[in-house]
Amino acid sequence: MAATILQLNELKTHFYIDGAVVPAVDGVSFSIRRGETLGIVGESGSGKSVTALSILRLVDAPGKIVGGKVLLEGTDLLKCSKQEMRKIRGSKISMIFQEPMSSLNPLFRIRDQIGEAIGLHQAVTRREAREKAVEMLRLVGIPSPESRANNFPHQMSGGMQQRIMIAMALSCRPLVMIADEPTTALDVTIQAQILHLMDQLKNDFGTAIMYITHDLGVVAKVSQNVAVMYAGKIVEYAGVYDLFDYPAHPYTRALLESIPRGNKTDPGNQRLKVISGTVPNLLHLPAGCSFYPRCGDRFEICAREAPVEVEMKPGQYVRCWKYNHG
Amino acid sequence: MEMMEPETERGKKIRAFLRNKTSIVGLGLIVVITLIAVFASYIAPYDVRAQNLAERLLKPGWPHLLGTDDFGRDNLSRAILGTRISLAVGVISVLISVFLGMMVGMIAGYFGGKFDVLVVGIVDILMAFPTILLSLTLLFILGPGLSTLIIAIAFSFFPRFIRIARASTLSVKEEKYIEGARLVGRGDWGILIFHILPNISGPIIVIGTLWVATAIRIEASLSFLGFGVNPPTPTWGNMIRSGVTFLQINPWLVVVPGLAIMVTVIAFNMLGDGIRDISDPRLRG
Amino acid sequence: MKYHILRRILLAVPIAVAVMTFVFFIVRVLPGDPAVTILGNDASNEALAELRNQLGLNYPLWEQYLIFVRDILRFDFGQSMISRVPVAQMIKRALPYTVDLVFASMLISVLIGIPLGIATAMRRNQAFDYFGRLIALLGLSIPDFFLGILFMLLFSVTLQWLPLMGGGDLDYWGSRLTHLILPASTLGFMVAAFITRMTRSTMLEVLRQQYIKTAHAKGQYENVVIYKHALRNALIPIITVVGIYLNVLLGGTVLIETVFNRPGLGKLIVGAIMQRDYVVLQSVLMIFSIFIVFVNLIIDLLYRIVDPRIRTR
Repeated sequence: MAATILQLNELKTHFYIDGAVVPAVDGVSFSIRRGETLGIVGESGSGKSVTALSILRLVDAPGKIVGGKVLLEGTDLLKCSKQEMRKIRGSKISMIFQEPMSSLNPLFRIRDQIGEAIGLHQAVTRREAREKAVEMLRLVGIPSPESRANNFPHQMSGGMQQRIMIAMALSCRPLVMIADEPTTALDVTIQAQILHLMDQLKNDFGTAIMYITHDLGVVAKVSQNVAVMYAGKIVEYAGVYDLFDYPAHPYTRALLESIPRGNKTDPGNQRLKVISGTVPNLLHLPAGCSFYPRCGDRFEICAREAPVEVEMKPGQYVRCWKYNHG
Repeated sequence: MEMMEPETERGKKIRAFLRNKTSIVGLGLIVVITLIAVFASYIAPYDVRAQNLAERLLKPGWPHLLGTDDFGRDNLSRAILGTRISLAVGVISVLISVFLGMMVGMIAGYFGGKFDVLVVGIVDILMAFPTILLSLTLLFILGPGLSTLIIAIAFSFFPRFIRIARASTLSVKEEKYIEGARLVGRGDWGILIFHILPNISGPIIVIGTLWVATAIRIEASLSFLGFGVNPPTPTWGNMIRSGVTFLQINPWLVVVPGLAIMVTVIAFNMLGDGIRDISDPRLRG
Repeated sequence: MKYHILRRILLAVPIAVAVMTFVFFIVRVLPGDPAVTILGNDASNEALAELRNQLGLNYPLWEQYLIFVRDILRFDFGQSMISRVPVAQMIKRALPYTVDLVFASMLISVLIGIPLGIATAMRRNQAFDYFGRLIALLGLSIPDFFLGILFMLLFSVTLQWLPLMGGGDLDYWGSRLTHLILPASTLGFMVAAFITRMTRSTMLEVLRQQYIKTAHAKGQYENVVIYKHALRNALIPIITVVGIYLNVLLGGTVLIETVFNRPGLGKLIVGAIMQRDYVVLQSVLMIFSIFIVFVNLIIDLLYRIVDPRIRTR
C-alpha cells in the first residue's frame, strides 16, 4: 500500500463570533495516501471547506485553528513558521476553488498567473516560467495555448477557467491537490470533462486529491475513499464501494436514499426522500450526537452522549451508537 | 429554550443604531447643540452686542471665559449665539434642497421623456462645478443676506439630491408592487406619493444628514469670505473672519468658533454614518 | 475600443460648450444694472449710457452671446469691469499659483490617503483602524479655512518656520515652495481624508474576493498579495472617484487662497464677486469648468485603459 502523505489528527477549527464559539471543525481525523483520491462529502455548513482551508492555514479571523495536527509527510504543518508554510502552499499542497471566475485575478493575464505559481517555487527565469505555463495549459487541454495564455480571465469560459485553475494548482507537481467543489458552478457536461481531466492528471503526476463536494454521484466516480462530514465531525469513513454498498451511519444512508432515481421498472412515481429537519445551528449543538434530531435509528444514549469513532472493519469507521455497544 | 419576542425590522434597526457608539455620540452632540441654539439667549452670559472697549481682546479668563473680541464683546456669548444661525442655515438649506430635489428627481425619473433628459443634462452640468462655486455664483446673482444665503446653499446641493432621487425612483419604478398598485387603480401621482416616496427616502435621509454637516461648513466658509450674514450678528464664519486679523494677538477669537464648527460637523457626520450603517450595512467598511 | 475613446473625446466638446453657455447666462441673470453697480447710484445718465455701450449691454442677449463666443475663441476674455485690466492677463498672472496649489495638494492627499487607507484596512477594527478613521473623520469635518488658519497659527505665528501669507515669488524655488507648503498641506490633508475612507472600503471589498484566496493558496508573499493583487484592483474604483475629489479641491482653492492671501484664481473669483465684476467672474468660472471637464475626460479614458475587462471588450 502506498505511503501516507497527509494525515489529520483531531483537527479543531473554531470561529469566535459575537462572544460565541462555533466549532466549525470539531476533531477531524483522516489520512490520504500517495496518489489516492479522498472524497469529502457533506452539506453546506458541515465544515468541509473550513477543513481544507485549515490544512493550508488560510483560515481568516474570526476563525482559528485551536487544536490537532496536520501531518504532511510527517511534519506538523500547524507548527511550521509562516515562511515555511508559504513555501508549502502551491508547491506541496495546492487548492482550487468553487467559482473559477472569481478565483482568477481579473487584471492579470493567464500566463502570468500560472507563471506566478511556478516562479514562486521553482528557480526559473520569467521566460521559462511563461513557457512552462503554456505547457501546463496544453496539458489541461486548452486549445492554442500560446495565444490563449495572453488572454485575461474574463475572455475564457467557465470550464476553461477551471482548467486554468487546475493548471495553476498542478504546475509545481504538488503532493496533494485540494479541490473544493470545483465543478459545482459548472454545467454537467463540462463537469464530466473536468473530472476526467483531474483523474488523468492525477495518474500522470501522482498527485493525491482531496475532493470536497456535496454530490454523491461525483464522489462515486472519482474517489477511492470517502469521508462523510456532519456538523464539524466525520461521521463515517469508508472505501467508496463499501460506503455505497453498506452505508453504516444513518446520515449516510439518508443521503444515499435521497438521491433521485429514475427506474426502468418504476419510472419515478416515488416521492423524493428527504432528510427531515435541517442542519443544526453550530451555535446551539445538541448535547449528544449532532445528528440525533434527524436520525431515524435513535437510542436513548444518542441524546446524552456524543458517539465515539469505532472501526467497524479494517478501513471503515463510523461514529454512531448503533455500532458501539460500549 | 425561551421563546423570544419576534423583533420588528424597525426595532432591530433602532437597537443596532443605539449600539453603535458613533451614532450615539453624534446624536447626543446634536441634541446638546440644538438645545444651545434654542436657548441661546438664556445661556449666553453676556449680550452679544454689548461692547466694552476697556476690555478688548482679552484672553480667556474670568469673567470672560473665552475672552473678548476687538470690540470687547464676550467671545463665549457670541459663539453660543452663532449656533443659532449656523444650525438654522445648515438644516433649512438641506431641507429645502432635499424637498425640491426629491420632487424634481421623482418626477423626472418616473415620467421620463424630454423633461427627464433636460433635467439630467442640467444636473450633469451643475455637478461639474465645485459646490462652493455654485453657492458663490448664486450669491453673486441674488446679493447678500440671510435668506439668499440659505437659497444659495440649497441650490448648490439641489442637483445632487435630484440625481439620487431620480436614480432611486428609476429602480423602484420597476418593482412589482408598483405594477400591483397600478392594477388596483392608483393613479400616477398616488403611486409617487404613497409608494415611491417612502421607498426612496432611506438613502436620502442618510445623505441628507451628512449634507447638513457640509451645509454648515459651507455657511461658515461663505461667512468667512464675507458673503454671509454680517456683523454685528455673530455667526461662526464671520467671527473667524474678524478674528483672523488678530490672530497673533488673540487666537481664541478664531479657535473657538472654528472648534464649534468642527464639533457640529463631526456630530452630523457621526449621526449620518450611524444611520447609514443600520440602513445598509454593505456600505460600511 | 478606439471608437469609444474617440467618442468620449468628442463628447467633451458639447459639454464644454454647454458649460460655457451656462456660465454666460447665469452671470447675466442679475437683478439690477451692471453699469449702476460699477459707477454707483449717483452717476450721471450719460456716464451710465456710455459705460453700457462700452460693455456691449445694449445689444440683444443673443448677440451678446455671439460676441462672447467669438471673443472666447480668440482668447479675448474682455476687461475687468473695475480695473479695466485685460482679464486674460489677470488670469495668466493668477494661474500658476492655483496650478501649484492644486497639484501639490493632490500629491499630498494621495501620498497620505492611499497608504493610510491600506493600513487601516489591514488592521481592521484594531486600535490603529479606529485611530485612522478618527483622523479621517476630523479631516472631513474641519472647515478647510479653519485648518489653514490653525496651520498658520502653528507654523507661521508660533514656530515661525514658514511665511505667513502670500504666494511668494514664482521665480525663486525656495520662496515658491515655502509659500506652498501650508496651503497645499491644508487642502491635501482634507482630501486625504476622503481618499483614506475610499481606499479603506475598496481594499476591504477587494480583499474579500476569491482571487485573493487563490493568491495566498499559491504561496504568494503577504506583501505581494496586498500591493500587487489587491491594491491594483482597488485602485480602479479609486481612480474613477478622483474626479469628484478634484471638485472638492478646486472649491477649496477659493477659500485657501483667501486665507493665505495667495493671488490665484480662487482669490480672483472672490474679488470679482465682491466687486460684482461679472466679466472676471465669468472668465474664471469658465476656466475652472473647462478644466474640470478636461480632467474628467482624462480620468474616464484612464479608467478604460487600466481595466482590462473594458479594454479588451
